[in-house]
Amino acid sequence: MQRFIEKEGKTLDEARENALKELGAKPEDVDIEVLDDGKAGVLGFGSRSARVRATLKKGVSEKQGHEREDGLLTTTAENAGPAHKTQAEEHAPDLERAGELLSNMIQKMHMNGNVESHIRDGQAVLNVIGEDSNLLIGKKGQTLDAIQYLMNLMYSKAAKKKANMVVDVEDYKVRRVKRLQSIALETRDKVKQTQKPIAIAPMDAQDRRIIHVTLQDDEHVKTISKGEGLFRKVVVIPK
Amino acid sequence: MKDLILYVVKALVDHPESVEVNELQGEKTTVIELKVAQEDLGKVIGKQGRTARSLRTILNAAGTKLGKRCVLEIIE
Repeated sequence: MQRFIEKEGKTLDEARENALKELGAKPEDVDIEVLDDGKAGVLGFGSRSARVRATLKKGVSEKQGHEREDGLLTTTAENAGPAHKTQAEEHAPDLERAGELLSNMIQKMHMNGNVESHIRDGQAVLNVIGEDSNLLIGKKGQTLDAIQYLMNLMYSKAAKKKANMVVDVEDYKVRRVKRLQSIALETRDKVKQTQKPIAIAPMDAQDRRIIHVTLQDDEHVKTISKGEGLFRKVVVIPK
Repeated sequence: MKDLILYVVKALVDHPESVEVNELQGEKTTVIELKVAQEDLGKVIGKQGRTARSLRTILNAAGTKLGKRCVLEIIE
């Protein structure tokens, strides 16, 4: 499993800097891949942050003698051997172990999928890539949620500490958030134009939250949830 | 099918040695019977039945892949 991290920033340079800071590496030791070059947007709307993926080049150990964000200094040279774990790795969840649990589970479900892991914004993410992605996601991501829940339970039991890792299949969750954000912004534009409230199709609490959060600081509209149970939906109202 | 439930449940309970899984092949549906130690019953059911529900969800997904219908029964 390859170790890499993803970082965001307002600009590409900022994202790149954040990534280097987290890895504690020099620019020449890291391969930077641009995932999203960001967009400034108009008046702060429709803006996207820039995202980069930083991979440590082979033969470079992590956080060698660089000051970490929390101010602790990690030790250098004498214990930088390959078997040595840096402080950061001891605190972070054991991605390899988690990945193993997950790929065993997938295999026993008679499905094919490779697990790759990375840290995104301080959150451990296990992403599954393979031909059975549709089945692994399930209706509205139900199967994916079940897999994530069970994986965290299994991991917590084995590691004797609570784990809160994200399991994703081919970036389904990332794509879902983006889709919901664009629905929110489109609805907002329509409401702004017509000055009439518009209800968005019913969705579950997690999805409604994304809509609310996307529009919470909007100066033209506000959002409320209406309806009960399965029919609860977000209504966008002009201010 | 049996393997999947066995693998996940053994990783969740305090007494993996007393986990028993039986597979009953029906005409269309396969029933999977799960027995665990009395103290572990809560662990496989979970808060609001969430663990049991998740187990059934992944079982259904695996069943879909193989073109079978599977039911999980937790036996006290």
